[in-house]
Amino acid sequence: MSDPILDVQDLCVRIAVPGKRGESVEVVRKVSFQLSRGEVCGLLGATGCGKTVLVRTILGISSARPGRVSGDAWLLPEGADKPLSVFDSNSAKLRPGWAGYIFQDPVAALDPLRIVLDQVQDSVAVRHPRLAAAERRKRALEWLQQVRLADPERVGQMYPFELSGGMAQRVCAAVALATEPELLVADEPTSGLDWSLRREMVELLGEQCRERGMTLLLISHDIQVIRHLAEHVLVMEAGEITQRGLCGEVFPEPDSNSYTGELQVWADTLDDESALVPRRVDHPSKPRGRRLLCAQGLSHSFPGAMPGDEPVHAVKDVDLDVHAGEFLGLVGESGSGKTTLGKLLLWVLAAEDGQVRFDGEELGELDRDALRALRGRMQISYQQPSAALNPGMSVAEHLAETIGLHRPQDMARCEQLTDETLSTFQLQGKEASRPAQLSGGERRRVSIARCLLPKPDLLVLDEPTAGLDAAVKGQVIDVLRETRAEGSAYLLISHELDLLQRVADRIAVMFAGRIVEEMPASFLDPEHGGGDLHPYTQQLLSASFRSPRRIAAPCHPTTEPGGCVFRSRCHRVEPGTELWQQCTRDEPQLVPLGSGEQKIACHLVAQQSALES
Amino acid sequence: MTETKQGHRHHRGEQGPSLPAGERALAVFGLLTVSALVLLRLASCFLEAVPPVGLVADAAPSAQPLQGPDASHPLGTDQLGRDLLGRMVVSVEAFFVPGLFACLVALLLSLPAGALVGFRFHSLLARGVRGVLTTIAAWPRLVLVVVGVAMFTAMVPDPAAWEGLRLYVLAALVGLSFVPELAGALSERVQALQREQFIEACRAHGIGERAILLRHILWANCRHLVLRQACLLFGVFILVETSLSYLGDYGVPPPRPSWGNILAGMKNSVLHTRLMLIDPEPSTLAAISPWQAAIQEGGLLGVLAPSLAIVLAVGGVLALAEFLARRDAA
Repeated sequence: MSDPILDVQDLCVRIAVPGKRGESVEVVRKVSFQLSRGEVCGLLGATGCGKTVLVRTILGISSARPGRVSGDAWLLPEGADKPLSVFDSNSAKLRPGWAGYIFQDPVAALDPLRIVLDQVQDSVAVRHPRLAAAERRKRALEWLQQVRLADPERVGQMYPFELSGGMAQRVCAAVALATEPELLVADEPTSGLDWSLRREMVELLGEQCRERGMTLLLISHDIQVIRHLAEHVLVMEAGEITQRGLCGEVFPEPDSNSYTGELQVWADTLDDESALVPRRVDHPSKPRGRRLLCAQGLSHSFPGAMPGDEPVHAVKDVDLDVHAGEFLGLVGESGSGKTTLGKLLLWVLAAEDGQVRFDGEELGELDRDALRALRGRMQISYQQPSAALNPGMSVAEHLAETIGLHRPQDMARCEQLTDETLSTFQLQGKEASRPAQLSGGERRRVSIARCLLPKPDLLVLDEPTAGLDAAVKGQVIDVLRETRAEGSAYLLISHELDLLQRVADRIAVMFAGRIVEEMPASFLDPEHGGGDLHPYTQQLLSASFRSPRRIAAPCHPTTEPGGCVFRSRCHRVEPGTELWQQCTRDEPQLVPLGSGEQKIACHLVAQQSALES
Repeated sequence: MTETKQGHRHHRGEQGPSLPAGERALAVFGLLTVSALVLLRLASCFLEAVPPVGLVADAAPSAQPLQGPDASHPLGTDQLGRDLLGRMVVSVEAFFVPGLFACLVALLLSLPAGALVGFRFHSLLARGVRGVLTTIAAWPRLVLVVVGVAMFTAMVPDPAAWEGLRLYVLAALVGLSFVPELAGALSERVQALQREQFIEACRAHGIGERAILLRHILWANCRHLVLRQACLLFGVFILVETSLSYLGDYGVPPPRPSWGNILAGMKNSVLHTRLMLIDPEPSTLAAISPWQAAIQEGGLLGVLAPSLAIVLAVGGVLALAEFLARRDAA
């Protein structure tokens, strides 16, 4: 490898086991690798495999004490005649800001009490300590511009808590980049981001690296992110590097026994439609089941953050039907009201306005006991399974409670049933575990198992795969596919259109509390063309790494309320046109299009289809 | 249940929550103390049944007063010549069952009160209960206890006949004085838990309100808290009982022994001997010299033993409470 910038040799890191004196685990085992100047290298591994500890040790910001680390890492900064060891006191002679680090949790990595601009200025001052204040400020603003923040002046004056996830991640990137590092380490730069922002962030990093000849070490558990950006890839498994090489060489022929293999299989399953054979009710002409749940005019708002603020309309005027046995996907970005809608549909949250009929019964009019009697037929699995399980109860206790509650006739064979359920969900041996002793994927499966035990007619799944590795995600989807056979209707809430496209029969797209489009999932297939999709759906589709081109969302500043909620981000309408005036004036209603399978709330698409017919 | 759980954990070889050294020390100390107290309580039944020496009554002492330790009196005798060890053991009766009774009173009152206030904070009943709790909390604990016992003594027609009951009145009052604290801690916890998402998930799952409160909130998440507060109360009761017995009128009435009144009695006699020796004539000094040595020995033990017993018993019970608190936080 020519012109190395970092050379790690046989690095081992031990970390003390909390609560056990003198005991330690080796979290990084004999890791050796080299990075050459200007390359983009991916470090792929499951959560908890030691990726973060490894890079933090290399950068000297780990809490591991000397003596717990063996092996060495050599740094070769530009202009240095001989390599510097990280563990040598000489490494202090490195230029400050030689290496940059983008933290996994962007909001936690920023100082909560200082405005963004000051924090970027600090980084500028690291590189150029003797810069005049005005110049420093100017450069800091330039950096904010560089990371494509729309209004650097305004964002610069904000405190971290005021930033959205995507903005905070970009600010973090600006803070790291402003020291003009030779080596940039990005630790899961996309994990906290929305589906649609993920690709943007990855492309931004790639662009900056190419422009500045920077070396980038990209840490992720997301195979798609790495495949999209990196040339070389290191695969880490339980503290060891098990595979390395060019991205194209490592990924195409996975060894089915290894971790990459497993990851790859899942990434492929999600990519390859044929792998999910029974994925949809394939023929749109197939008669739907009876209407199971019917919501009309649902609205709900939450009080604003501060007293006197306008209430936030989380869900506004939503009509939605769920048919027996169907798999309905609900997609939208964070904060679009998906979770609230899910809760309203089951009347877990009583809607301010509108009504829900479940199998002919109007939920809002039932008293508490009658509603509870219906609960066994409609279940919801919460987004954070850790928060949905009782921290003081074991897995078996949770399941036994459900059996006693919803299937009292099976109480006699409760243990047998629990065992069966646990083996269905691959949770054998976890009976006595408390939620805190389970991994994220296991908790999720317990939560879903608990909801499926009563054999509900309708199950609402709120982001069942968020925050999971590809492999674990695959297990969860597997379980859902298997239990599908029991004839329950599923409402799957997710921000990943990719996932829904693979598993759902029908998809509803949500934006700012409204349903802007409803259609069969097959409408999203490439062969369908996608010409008459809602602009927001098009943007979501293009955010997938599989899509050839990303549609950048423009930002048309709108001040006046009313009209189409999406118009400020719509790429298909220009301000000033006749159509724009209509979009500003009238709020589009959800109208059926063509054969009636698709419903859409967009003036443009409605007009076009009217012209065609 | 616990055993199977631990065995299971072991089996999986998981680095589960094994106790850190500090916690283990607390648990060992606390459990040793509590088992020692239980043993002493059982031993005291035996001693009462077969009184070897004038344990309780002011009956003619069979031994010298303030005698040093020997084979028949391992800790020596007190100022009236009664066996000190025997009296120390029987003293456990003064706080053991009454202490448990205090816990029972506190739990019976504060469990429903705390659960109600926490679960239905804004209901009319909860408001009333909160008012009552605040009123009780406004009384200093010792004042409440002392005034209560005094009123009881004044009201019963024949105080001597009711003496045995007095300790239980004392216990009930200490328990009552603990109710605001325990109910407050409980209601705060219940309220905090109620905002947790898993409770909303329970409701969505179809679980009834009563099961949510009893099983999901109280049993699964509050039992450590309640046990810990009960331990704390038991420790405080030992302190209150021995303090009042030391002071005299309100505690255990002599001749029944309590660590508090043993300590008070021995302290007085040791102090007296000292006073006698302040102005000694050489002849008297020579005459009492061997006798005085014995007093010093017996007196010192008599002061040390009950003090140490109080410190160890209270410390052990509080250590157990601290251990439970840490378990609760983990």
